[in-house]
Amino acid sequence: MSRVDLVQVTKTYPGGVKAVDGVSLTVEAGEFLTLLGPSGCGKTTSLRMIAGFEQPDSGKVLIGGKDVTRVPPYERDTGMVFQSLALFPHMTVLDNVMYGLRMRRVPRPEAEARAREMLALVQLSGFEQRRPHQLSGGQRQRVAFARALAINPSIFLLDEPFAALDAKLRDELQVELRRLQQRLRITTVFVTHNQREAMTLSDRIAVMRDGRVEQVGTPQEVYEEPATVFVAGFVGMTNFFKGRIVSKEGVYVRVRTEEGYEIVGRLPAPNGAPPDGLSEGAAVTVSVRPEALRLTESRPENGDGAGANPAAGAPGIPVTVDMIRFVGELVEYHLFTPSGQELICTYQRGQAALPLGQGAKAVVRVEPGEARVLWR
Amino acid sequence: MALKTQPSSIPGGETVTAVAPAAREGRWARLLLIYPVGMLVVFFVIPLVMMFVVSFYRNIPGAGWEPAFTLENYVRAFSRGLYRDRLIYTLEISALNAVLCLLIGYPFTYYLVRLASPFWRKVGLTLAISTLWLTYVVRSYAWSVLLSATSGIGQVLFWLGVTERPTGYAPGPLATVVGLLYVFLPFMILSLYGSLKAIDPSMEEASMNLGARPWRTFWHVVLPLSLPGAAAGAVMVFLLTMGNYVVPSILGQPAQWTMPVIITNQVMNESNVPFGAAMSVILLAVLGLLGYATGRLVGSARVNPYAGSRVAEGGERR
Repeated sequence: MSRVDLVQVTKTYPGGVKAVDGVSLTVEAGEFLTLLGPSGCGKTTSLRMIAGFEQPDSGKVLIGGKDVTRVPPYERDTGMVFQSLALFPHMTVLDNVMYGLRMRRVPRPEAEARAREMLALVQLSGFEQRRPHQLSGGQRQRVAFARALAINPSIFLLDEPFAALDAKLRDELQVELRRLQQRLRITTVFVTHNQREAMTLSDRIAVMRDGRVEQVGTPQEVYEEPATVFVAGFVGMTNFFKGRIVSKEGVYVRVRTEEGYEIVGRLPAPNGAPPDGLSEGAAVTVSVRPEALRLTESRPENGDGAGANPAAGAPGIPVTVDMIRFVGELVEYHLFTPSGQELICTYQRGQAALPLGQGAKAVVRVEPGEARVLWR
Repeated sequence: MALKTQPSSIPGGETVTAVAPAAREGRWARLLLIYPVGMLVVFFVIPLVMMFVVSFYRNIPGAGWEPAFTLENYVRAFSRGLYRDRLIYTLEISALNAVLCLLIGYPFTYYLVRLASPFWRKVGLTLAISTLWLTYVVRSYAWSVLLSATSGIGQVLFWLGVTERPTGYAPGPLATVVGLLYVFLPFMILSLYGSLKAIDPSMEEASMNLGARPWRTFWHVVLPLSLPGAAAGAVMVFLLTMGNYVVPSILGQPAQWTMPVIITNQVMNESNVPFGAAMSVILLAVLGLLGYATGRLVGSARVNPYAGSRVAEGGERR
């Protein structure tokens, strides 16, 4: 169990594409950190630099405080699960799991005992003599875990291991992976483009974009206090309102949207002080999560006007219900503002008791304290 | 009711039209088979049977041959040391060529497959197999010029001071080996290319991640996974070399003549068609046996990465 540090790491591929651009990141000992981002954001390259398959052009990689930037992968003591799993098809499950130990010249009986122990840990006892192609997708996944962990590595690395699995199996294996990681207390770096996966698994998430880290934080922080417009849009669903600052009071900001409605929002918590230029008239984006938008019936006296509703104490935005989707535990309302902007609003199933059908007129309001004002 | 009967518009004819297409299809399929089967019979079966029959005929020196049933051709082929030695020599040089092609083709193909740029990979592969565009005859004569005393390599070595006088290597054992290697190397490369290309690069990374140095990674992962391709390539080169006439006859002295050269010599120069036929049958039998044996060996090899991964992908979607 040791920590990993990436220090100002940069990697440029032939052709001038900056895959990783000055990334500094620390994975604490025993922590489960996820590198999250769209394809081409540099998350896999970063992982491969920790494993030693890629060399940074500049910057350093430290494992357990030791500079391993120039250390080849076979001397790094990391255990990696590949996207394709890369189980050796010409070996039995047992030989696959033993491979790392044998390469470390652990005597066969000892290696075999350890491999059996690992297979028991991933509930695959009895499958020792099978070959990878004789296993189901989930079983192969668990063999890959066992193989990577059998060498008792100081760092556990996973490169989108669940990408090829169906949703149900993916959920089961996520739980299993998290349990395994917590039992072994092993420092883990996980790469995914799936924000749900990142949220449910991680202690902390590093959201990456264009080779840079946009934000690092716990899943809750990243979701509730997104530092940038990109993070707000990439992690979870959200509604954006472009507008300008009308007035500012500490971290609370009143914004007039381009459509002319006013929303009171808060600057996101600790992630960096806003620039000095962020004063009245500055262009900003307001992010409101779908569950922070509340629908009320449009009262006749409000008509088609500005939608001011003195009774609720806050101005609302008049909308038309375009579609209602039932997403299992959630009910999702797709709404259109008068100028045609689409908004999404969700309710827990059973709590959306409003008699609103398709085409109904309604008013949405932002729950107090739920809007985030983002300036980049 | 109206809706139900509509698709088959004529209720009475229904049973007929339901059964007939399948039967007619079967008849058509059998009719179509006449073409490939006919081709096989005319161009392969009949000549083979003729060769087999003629191998029992009696040769009349200077006057062709007469139908008969005699084993004298076979007795001659096996009793004379000359022909037995030629057969053994043919097997030896074919095996040697297969091994040389493997030793030279494997590293080349390995690095070719690992080239990062698909463009240069294609260029490399095209160059490697481009020699196949020329006939064996042209390539063999090209080598006989290159290896002659008056031009090419012999002159270069003399000029460099390696040899005291310009030496010719063709025709001779060296020229034969070089010629065979040159001619059949592309087959080995093609066979290995598919096999090595199919190995997921992350296999090697996984091995290194687990602590194996590059050489051990190669030995434990890459080599076993490429074995089927290597074996197929070696068998192909071996069998093709055994059947090759052009290279040993142009680049070899009589001491390098293989069975095909001896057979041609018997038929064309000695006009002994029955004896040539008998030796052809023997060569064919040996080839068939070896082909069968190696086929079984490779087929039963437990190394079969492709079948595994296919099943694996299918399983994942379920």
